[in-house]
Parts: sequence; C-alpha cells; structure tokens
Amino acid sequence: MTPRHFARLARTLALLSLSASASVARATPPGEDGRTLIRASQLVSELQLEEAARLLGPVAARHAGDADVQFEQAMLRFHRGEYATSLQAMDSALALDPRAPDLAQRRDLRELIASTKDATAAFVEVRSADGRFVVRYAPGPDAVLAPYALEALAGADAGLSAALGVRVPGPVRLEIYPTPRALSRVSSLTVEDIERTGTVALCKWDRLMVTSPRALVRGYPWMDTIGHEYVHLVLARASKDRAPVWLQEGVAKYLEARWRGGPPRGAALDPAAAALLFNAVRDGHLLAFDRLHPSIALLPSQEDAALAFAQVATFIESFVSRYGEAKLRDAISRVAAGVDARVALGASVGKSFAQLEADWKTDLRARPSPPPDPPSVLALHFRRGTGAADESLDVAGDQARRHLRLGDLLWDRQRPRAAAAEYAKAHGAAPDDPIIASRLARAALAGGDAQQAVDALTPAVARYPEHAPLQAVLGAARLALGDLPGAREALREALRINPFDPAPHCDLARAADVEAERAREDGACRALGSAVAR
Amino acid sequence: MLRQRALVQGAARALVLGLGAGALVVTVAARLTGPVASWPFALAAWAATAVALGIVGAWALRGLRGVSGAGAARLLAPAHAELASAARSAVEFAGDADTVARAPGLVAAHAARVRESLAEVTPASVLPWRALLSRPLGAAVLATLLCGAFAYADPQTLAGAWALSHPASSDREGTALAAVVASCDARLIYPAYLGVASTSVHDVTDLTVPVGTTVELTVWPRVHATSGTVEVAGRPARLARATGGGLTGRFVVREGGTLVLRVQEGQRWLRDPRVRTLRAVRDEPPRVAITEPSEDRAIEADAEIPIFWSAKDDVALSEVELILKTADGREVRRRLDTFATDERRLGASGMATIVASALGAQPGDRIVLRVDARDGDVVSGPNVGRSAERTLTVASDSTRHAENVAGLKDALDLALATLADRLESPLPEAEDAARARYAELGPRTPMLASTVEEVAFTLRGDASARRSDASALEAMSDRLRRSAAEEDRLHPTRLAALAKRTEHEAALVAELEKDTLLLEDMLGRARLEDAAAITRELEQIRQRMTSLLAELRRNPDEQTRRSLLAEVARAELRMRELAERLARMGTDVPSDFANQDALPANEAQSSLEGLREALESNDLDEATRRLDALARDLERMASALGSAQDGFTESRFGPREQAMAEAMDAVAGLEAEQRDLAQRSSETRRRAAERAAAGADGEAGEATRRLAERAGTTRRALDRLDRSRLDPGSQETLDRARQRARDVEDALRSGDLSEASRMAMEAEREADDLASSLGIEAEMFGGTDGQNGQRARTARDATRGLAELSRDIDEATPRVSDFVDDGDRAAMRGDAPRQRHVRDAAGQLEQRFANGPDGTPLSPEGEQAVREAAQQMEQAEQALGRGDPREAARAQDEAARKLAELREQMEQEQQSGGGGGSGSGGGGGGDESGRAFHEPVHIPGAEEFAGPAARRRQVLDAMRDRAPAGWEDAVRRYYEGLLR
Repeated sequence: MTPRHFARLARTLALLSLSASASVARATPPGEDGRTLIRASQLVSELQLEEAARLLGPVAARHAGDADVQFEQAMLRFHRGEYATSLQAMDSALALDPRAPDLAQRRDLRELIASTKDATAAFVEVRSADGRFVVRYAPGPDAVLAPYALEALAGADAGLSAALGVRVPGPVRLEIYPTPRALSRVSSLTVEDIERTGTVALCKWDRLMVTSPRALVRGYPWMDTIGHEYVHLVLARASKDRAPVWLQEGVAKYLEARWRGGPPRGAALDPAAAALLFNAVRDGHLLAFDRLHPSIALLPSQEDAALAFAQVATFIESFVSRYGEAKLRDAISRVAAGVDARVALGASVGKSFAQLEADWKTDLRARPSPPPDPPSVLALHFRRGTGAADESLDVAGDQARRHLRLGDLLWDRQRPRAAAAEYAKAHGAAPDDPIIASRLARAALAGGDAQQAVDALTPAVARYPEHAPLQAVLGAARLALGDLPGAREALREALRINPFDPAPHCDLARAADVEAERAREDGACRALGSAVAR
Repeated sequence: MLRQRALVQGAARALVLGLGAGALVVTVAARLTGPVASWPFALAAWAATAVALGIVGAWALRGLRGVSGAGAARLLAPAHAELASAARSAVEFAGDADTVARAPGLVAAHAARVRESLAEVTPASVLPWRALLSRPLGAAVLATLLCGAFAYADPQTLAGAWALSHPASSDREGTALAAVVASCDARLIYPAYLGVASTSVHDVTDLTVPVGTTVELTVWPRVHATSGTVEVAGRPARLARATGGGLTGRFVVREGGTLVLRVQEGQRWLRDPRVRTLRAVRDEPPRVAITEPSEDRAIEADAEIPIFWSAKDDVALSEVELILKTADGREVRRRLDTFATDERRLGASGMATIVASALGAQPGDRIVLRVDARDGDVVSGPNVGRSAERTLTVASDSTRHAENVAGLKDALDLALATLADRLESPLPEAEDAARARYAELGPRTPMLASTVEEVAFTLRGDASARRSDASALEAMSDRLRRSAAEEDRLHPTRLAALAKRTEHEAALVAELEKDTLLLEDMLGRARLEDAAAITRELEQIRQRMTSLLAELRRNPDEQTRRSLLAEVARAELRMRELAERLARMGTDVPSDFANQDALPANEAQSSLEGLREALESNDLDEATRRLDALARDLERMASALGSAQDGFTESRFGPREQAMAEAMDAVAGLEAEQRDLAQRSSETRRRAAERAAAGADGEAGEATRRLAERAGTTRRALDRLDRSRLDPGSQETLDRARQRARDVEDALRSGDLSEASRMAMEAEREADDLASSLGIEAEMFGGTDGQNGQRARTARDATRGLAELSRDIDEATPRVSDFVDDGDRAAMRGDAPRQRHVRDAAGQLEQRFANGPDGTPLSPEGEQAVREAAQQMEQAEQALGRGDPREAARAQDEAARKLAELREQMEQEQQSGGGGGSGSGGGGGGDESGRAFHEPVHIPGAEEFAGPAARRRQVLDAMRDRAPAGWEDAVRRYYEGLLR
C-alpha cells in the first residue's frame, strides 16, 4: 500500500467519524421553529450552508437562549470558518444545557473548534482578486505557497464546475498547516496517524485542509492534492455529502489533475498501483464492489485497500470514457436525491451496475501491462525540526546507502567530483533509486556535465515523476543545455511538489517565457534564497 | 638700453638711500614707543618713515630727469661728448618734418653714421655700476646697519619694532601681545621613579617631557617686568623676579599644550607672542603575557596547573598579580611578584600554579585567569597592563566528550579530504604522473593514521568513552599505516605494474570509505553523548539547587542565597554550552534522530531565568515552582536525547551492536564450557592428590602438617591487619588474600599439595598487591603515629611468608600425574576432543572479533583476549592428552578467567554505553540517562577517588551517622563538598 493510499484510507476514517458527529441537533424550540431548526441542521450536514444560514437566522433571533439553536449556530459558523464566534456559540450551548444527552459529543466538538481556533489564530489570509478563494497559512515561509495555491484553486474551480456541473458558492477556503501536529489539532487525526499513514490533506467542514509541503523532506504533490481535495469539496456539495467513499475517491482520483487544464489524464495510476491492478486482473483477484461498500477502510489488508483505490479510479475512468461526464453528473445528482450510488450509476446509463462492472473489467484487460520491474514506492518522509534530514534512510540496500552517505559528506564539503564518484557507486548498487539518481545528476551538473545529468535523470523521472529533486535537477540541466521548454516543464513540476527549494524558482525565473511568471519566480527566488542564507 | 641701465641704477640708489632713511626713522620710533604701540603712534611712525623714504628717494632719482627722447643722448656726454651731440641732432632731424623733406638724404646719412658710432659704445662703459659707490649711498648702508645693530642690542627697540608692526594686538583675554621675552630657559627635573638626571634646555621652543616632570622655567624679559606667569593647558604658574633680571617659576607637567608666557610691566600684563609648545609623554602600561597555557583548555579539578607569565615595562615594574574569576562570580587575586622602586625592573617572568578544586571549582566550571602588572608610575599611575584572558574549564564528562568530538571531527574532515583527493585524481598510467600523484597523496594516508591514533589515545584517556571505539580507531590506524606502507612498496625506484597499483588503490579507497563512515557514526554518537552529558551535569546542579533552596527556606541567610545564585550561574553556563553543542550538532546528527526543535532547551533556559529573578526578589515559592519546572524540562530533554541516542545507535551501529551482542553470548557460552572442563580436571587433580597423600609415608605427612601450620601462621599475620582502617579497594584485596591463605591451609590439611601450591601462588599475588597499595598510602600519608607504614610492613611480611611457603610446598609436592588412575586418565582423554572443540569455537570467535559486519574489526581487544584463551586451551588439550590434571586444570582455569574478564568488560561497556559519567552516577544512552534523573546525587566511592584515602574514609564514616531531622539535605551537601 502506498502512502497516498494510506492518506485516502485515513481520510475515509476521518470522514466517517466526523460525519457521524455532525448531526447532533435536537430541536427544542417548539412548533415550526423546531422543525426549521431540524431542517437547518440537516442542511448543514449536507453542506447546503447558504440555505441553512437563511433558515437559522430568524430562529436564532427568536430563541437565543436555546442550547440547540446555539449548537447549530456553532456548527454553521464552524463550517464557515468563523472559529471564534463558533466557539462562543458552542460554549453557550454547553452552558445552557449541561445535561444534553449528546453532551460528550458536544464537548468533543467544542474542543475541536477551540483547537482549530488556536491553531489558526495567527494565520495570514490571502484572497484571490475576485474574493472567491481564500488561502490561510501560518506566517513565514508558507507565504510562498499562496500564489500557487490560488492558481490551483482557480484551475480546479473552472475544471470541476464543468466536469461535475456544480459550482461551490464560495468563498472557497483553503487552510495550509505548517506541520502534521497542526493538522492533527484541526482534525480528529493524531500526529502518529498522519505520519504513519502519510495523510497530508483533508476536505471536511466545507474547507480544504492541506499540510505544507515543507513539513516533508522532499515535499509532495501538494497542488495535485489541492485539486484532489477540491473534487471532494465539489462532490460533497453535489451529492449533498451522500456519495459513498469509494465513489468519492474514484471521482476524485479521476478528476484531481483537472486543475491543470489540458486533456483529462484519466485515472493516472502510479506504476505500483498499476502493477497491483494488473496482477489482480490477471489472477482474477479483483475485489467485488460489494466489498468496497460502504467503506474501503473496512477492507482487511492494506494491499486490498490499495487495490480498491485503483479499482474505483479505473471504474470511473471506464464509466466516463464510455458514457461521458454528463452521465456521471446525472448519477451524482441521483445520489444527492438519496439513490444508492451503484443504482444511480446504472440508472443514469440505463444499465445495471453488474453490466457496468463487466464493461469496466473488459477495459481493465485492455490496459497496457505495467513494466516488469515496477518502481519502489518512496515513503513520505516527514521532517523532524529544522535540521538536516537523513535521506539515506529511504534508500534500500546497505551498500547504496553507504555510498550515498559518503557522497553527501563530500558534497557538503564542496567536493562535487569526489561526491559524483561516490554517487556513481551508489547508483551502480541501486540504479532504480531516485534519491541517488538526483544526487548523481546534481553532482554531475555541478561538475559541468549537464548532458550526463539529463541522461541519468530522464529514466528516473519517468519512473518517479513525483520526486521533486529529480524534477528540479532535470530542469536545471535542461536549462544549462538551452532546452528552455523542457526546463520549464520540469521546473514547474518541481515547484508543484516542493516550492521551498529556491533553486527551481531561480532557474524558472531564467527559463520563463512569460513576464508574469518570470517576475513571480524571481521574487520567490530572492525571498527563499535570502531565507536560506539566513 | 642705456636709458634702462640709467633707470635701474637710479632706482637702486633711491632704494638704498630710502632704506637708510627709513631704518633711521623706524629705529627712532621703535625706541620711543616701547613694547606696545598705539595705532596713532604706529601710523605716525610709519608715515614718517614713508616721508623720509619719499624725500630721499626723490633726491636720489633727480639725475634721471630729461633722459627721455633725445634727452637720453645726455647720458653719453660724460664719456663721449661728440657722440652725444651727434645722437641728439640725429634724433632731432628725424623728428623735424621740414628738415627731412628738404634734405632727406642728409638726414638719413647722419642717422646711419650715428648708429654706427653707437654700435661701438657699450652701456657699461657709459654707466658703470661702480658709479653707485658714492658717499651718500655708503652713508645710507651704514645707517641701516647701525639701526639694525642698535635694535638687536636694545631690547626696548626690538620690542618697539615688533609693536610697530602689531599695533594694539591682544589675545582673547585682552592681554596685550608684546615681544617681551628675550629668551626662556628650562630645567627639567624628572620623576624620581624614572631615575633620570635633570637636564637644562636653553631658549625653549618645543619641549617633550614625561608626565610628572617638574619644569623650572626662567624667563628673560625685554622689559622691566616685576612678575609673570607661565601657563600650560590652562594651568598657570607664577613667575617671580629672580636675581639677574629674569623671572623664574616651576610647574609639574600633567598634560601637554602651548606654553604661554605673560609678564607684568608696571601695572600692565604683556603676553609674549612667540609660540612655544610642551608635549607631555605618558608612561606606557606594562605589557603582560601568559605564555602557558597558551590557549583556553580543559584541566583536571585536582591537577596542579602551571601558569607561566612574563611582563615588561618601559620604565619599571612594581607588582604582578594573578587574577582568577571563578564560576560563582568571585575574583581571587594572588600576588605573583613585587619589585622595589630602586630595583628598576624592566622585565620579569615566572610561574604560578593553581588547583581548580582548591578554588571551589566543580567539574564543568570555568575559571578565567589573567595576569596584571603595575608599573611604578607614582605620578599618574600606577599604570596597569593586563594579559589576555585564558579560560580553563574544569574537566567534566562534557568537556571530555567535547574533546573527543573535536578529535573525531578533525579525523573525519581529514579522512574525507584524503578520500576526495584520491577520488578526484584517478590513478595515472604514465610513470611521471603516477610518481607525482604518489608524492602528493601518499603522505596523507599516514597523516590520517596518526590523527586517528591521536583520537584513539584521547579516548583511552577518557574513562567515560567506549573502549571499543578506541580499539576500533587503533585498528583503523594500523590498517591505514599498513596500506600506506604497501603503497610505498609499490612506488620504489621501479614503479609497480598498473594492475597492482590499481588493485591497491581500490583497496585503499574502500578502506577510506569504511573509515570515513565509521568516523562519522562515532562523531554523531559522540555529539549526542556530549549533549546528554551536559544535561546530566545540569541535573546534578539542579539537585544541588533543590538542596540549597530547602536549606534557604529553613535558614534564610545570605550565604546560602549566594551559594544558590552561584549554582544558578553554573546552570546558566551549562545551558549556554548545551545550546552551543546542539547548534554544532548540525548535519552530524540528522534531524530524524535528534529533533532539536523538540528539545525544551528554551523552556529550561526560561525556567532558569525565572529562578534567578525569583531568588533575587526573594520569592522562594516562585523559585520552587521554577525549579520544579526546570526538573521537568531537564527530564524531557534527557528523555529526548536518550531516544535520539537509541535511534542513532540502532540506525548506524545496529548490525555492529548485534554482532557484538552475539559475540558476547558466544564468549559467555565458551566461558561456561571452559569452566565445566576446568572443574572436571580439578576434580581429577584432587583425586590424584588424595591418592598421592594416601600413599605418602609418615615423613611426608609430617612435612605437610608443618606446612599447614606455617600457612596458619601466615594467615594470622594477615588477620592482624585492621580491615576497618583500609579503603574499600584494599579491604577487598585483603579479603581475597585471607581467603586464599585459608584455602592453602585447608588444602594442606587435606594433603592436597597441588591445590595448596596453586592457592599459595594466588594468596601471594593478592598479598603483594595489598602491600604495594598500603606502601603507596604510607608514603603519601603517614597516618597517626605511622600506622599506615606499620600496616604496609605487615602486608610485606605476609607476602614474603606466602612466597616462602609456596616454594616449600612446590618442593614437597609429588608429581600428581603419577597418581592418576586409569578411569580418570580415560576421562581426561575423553575431555581432550571436547577441549579441542571449544578451542575451535574460540578460533571462530576470534575471527568474528577481527571482522565486524561492516568490514572493520568488531573488537581488537576481544580478538586478543580470545586468542590468549585459545592458547591456554591448546595447552590444556595437550595436558589432558598426556594425563596431567594439574596443568590441564591450570590452563583451563586461566582460559576461563580470560573469557570471564572479556565478558565482564563487554557487559560493562554495554551498560555504560560510552556516555556514562565517571563518577556522575549517570549512564550513557537511552535508559541509562533517563534513569539517572531519578537517582540521588552519586557520591563516589573511595575506589573512584585518588585523593587522601584516610580523609575520605573519615568523611565516609561520618556520613553514616544520622543527620538531625530536617537537615538531611544540608548535611549530605556538606559531605558532598568535602568529598569533592
């Protein structure tokens, strides 16, 4: 199971636990107001916040001293990101009804709201020009993320509104947390859960919650992750938060790269997942969809869960390729109306779900076979403090690891040629390792051999496109060779994974063909460069 | 031309005559006016001078009238009268138009004739310069000279001349300026401490004198002055009338400046305008240097540290002092030397010694020292010269770790540089290039070997360091030296083949790679242990602070409060050190293991600051809270560092540690097997000895009985030693010696001469150790009434007795092997293969120690110990084969003993983890460091202390007495201080 599978699994668990905690209101106001409060509570849980606010306002004015009204007020405000007033309302609710039957649950929610308020108290807020997108982040280095985050949000908004036929009213809120600890404070996940499962982002309470890529040693595809979480946000709205997790994940995976524009990339499975799926098809070990329902998290093994994610992603890919995105939109609207997801998908195209499943399996068999030696999966390496991390821990093979360490020691002492010799030995011992390949290329580039760097990097990047150092050094090497379009492509990819490395910013500032991009990258280069110097 | 010459001569004549007249007038005016001239008088005088000049000048120039135009011909008349007339007519004809019109030819011819005549006449012949030598001119020159001489000779005239040129001049204070001082003489009397004779200066203009010099000034005024003043840098001194007409006064030079002279003439004051300066030279402070220690360094608490100093002064030294600033803020001054004034010592040097513990310094404390020297400047001084400061850090676990870290860092840097040089310089095929490469790179390998050896030596000297690390480094150094020697052999007169050199290069690079990584791993671990050691020291300080705070609550006296604040200062110093060490940890310890951001160093620092503030404001409740918070912070820090050490060790030394654990198990297994074999052989030997005793005749039995009685006598001699008076280490030795002596007696009584011989040898060895130990103590501390010496003599006598007994037993012992029966002989032969099997296993274990999992030796010491054990096993095997149970048992015992020692050493090292404190009570990594935080302050036992044993014993005995209720902490702290 890959770290991203872990992330999805953890998200599934989080979604389950938190959605269960949302609908706690008991209508104590009498008569019509009571019924309105119930309706408002339901709307909040369906993320129809605007309508919920419209209903709740008059009731709250008439029953300010009612604990349940205060509770719903707190939940609505929490969903809107108004943490301070949400906490006040929750405290009022607890004070007004200290014997509420769901008191323990309310206290838990109160703690979550208070923790979220504290964790985000010092956050800086940046809005898009039209005010539709709000990015909040901790003051400091994360400021560099803001323009890229707004770019991803705008791209996702445009792409997903068209694909799913639903536009989130906005403002769309994205919060970026500096550390896994901060993410744990605003969610029900523990730091251990986050680091063990590799969970780096969540979408809940009508907001996107993302961990800063600087919390990881090599970053992670954080812009794609924003795109992925945005799918969840839109889908939750479109389905009134009724889509099962497998459908959520299938659609999110299928559409996560839509923010980039361009042609749809489909399921875009990583090589390891593709191999897993290929083997399951070949051996007839595909999981039945009945087993994926209601939750992938309930599957017995991590490998089953990884396979399940590959299955749902390719299922949606198959569905859309056969029937188009309009039918997917139709199916989601049926889910929103309360129809079972499997029935909805079948009904939207006039087939049974079993027939859809058969079609999908046919498509699976037609998929190209993965390479015989699928790449190993690099675990997400969380940073511990601000000191240097030991990446050799991620390298398999004692010999390779030892030569890598030697290369790093020599590199740190400004001996690039000697470092290159050690990296070459490490590369010989572990030719598939992206960390070693990137180090070797970096040393070769420092030694003035850009072509050798490109030669070493090109196959590695094909296998590990999400390894930021590979992309960054490839961009630098292409820039040195005068391949500006190629350099731009690689450097942009590097920044979509780890925007805290000043080198790709500086290189992209030189390679950019658009003045706005050049200016942005030049500014980031200076800011991060001076920060590194400090 | 002639006209010009006439004009020049006329002007010269006018000038000389004018000067004479002017000088006369000015001299008269100057004589009349005196030193000060008013403006009207000065104007009148200058006007009169101008008039005189004008009149005389006009008179002198009167002869030049009418020389313009044709009149110039007149100048020729005195010398050439005809030519003068012709020239005049020629000029007149040329200017008359009618004449020219009527007879132009005649006019031209006449003019040409005149020109020809004039060309033959020179101006000098017409107007010679000697014509100027006339009486009027001579009179004028004479008048001028006389006036000048008069003015020079007559002071009033000279002053008047100055006054006429500076009418009504005055200084800022309104004193009239007048050239009233003819000259100013000075006598300089230098300060006595300089030892310089006085000197005189005539007509002072610029004076340069040392500060403190007395200047006796004599001013010679040009006027009739009744008194005067001399002023330097705003300080006036009076000048009084002296014999001879001068004014005299004296002043002491404090600072330099312009020398202003004023004189009083009648009722008015006049200031002399001449610029005179005085430069005051200050005495330079002495130059002082500490030559040893030449740099900051660590010292042992009880070591006598020599301080070599030197001082120089430009005049004379008077005193030299050593200033010591201790960790608790005290400043201790110690006079090193003093010099009498008349001694006039320009330079001095010497040596002083300090002992840190005598200054109350504790491990980890810093003593800042400097040497001050004073000169004998009694005028503005004494001037103090200060040496640069040296900081001596009292050795502690953390300083020793720091030294180890520094050594490892240097070795790692050198190893990396050596490796990089070889990697970046491929082995060339061409001989010249190969030789050049070898010349450059070859010496670096032995250099690295030496550096590594030095680090190993340092580690050997640090009781808290891992012995296995020192061994590994020694082995590394040996390998590097061998490799360097091999490379040397490949580069003789005739270069070795490329293939051979390539093979060696690859092996050397592989060796360097292994060594570099091992050094880096050791460095990372050492850094963590370094930080952990400081944390442990901080914890010890905190415990002392807790004790002091409790005492302060009971008895709020100032002394206790100061002691507590001193401990806070110590703790703050340690915190700063810890912060430095953590910062230096850098990339040597990746953040994956030691997340510095998570260490509560800032919180601990904050707690300390709060504690200090609370104590300063006498808020003991707040101080207690802060101290509790500090305890929590330190515990968290120790825990985090312990985890980091565990993680790092597991990651970097995991396979090695695993291999070591397996080797330790193997040693324990071999030891058990060997002991069992030794036991069997001992039983066989005992049975044979019994048979020998049974078969012995009555005379032999009697001899054995006598030997047993002698053994009893020797044992009783040992019993006379008062065990309670010995330190714990000696007590243990005495116990062992007594036990072995009893064993000898028992064996002899049972007739086992063989066993008795063996026991006698061991008893002799133990007694000898005891005698040596007591002898040393007796030499150092005589004890009351020489008791220590008496004890030492008793032990020596016992040793001699045991040696004689052992020799006599050996002489009386029959060959035990002759009494081994067939059954036992068969059993021994049966044990021989088993012994061989154990020896083979020992050989394999030796190999495991020689080759660790990473290619470097696991433990050279283990390898050596197992090899020695295997040699004993081989002897035992041979003895078993020939049926000699005594030799078999001896060799087997010896092999088992060596294995046991090795196992114990390995267990001890594993438990200490290399980070343990020597006497600090804390273990090394992980659990050990955490456990230390729950233990009381460790009071070292006598065996851990090299100080006066008797005193320690008294203190330890006294400590056993119960302290008054509520005073336990204070009493314990008191004894801790004594023991330290």
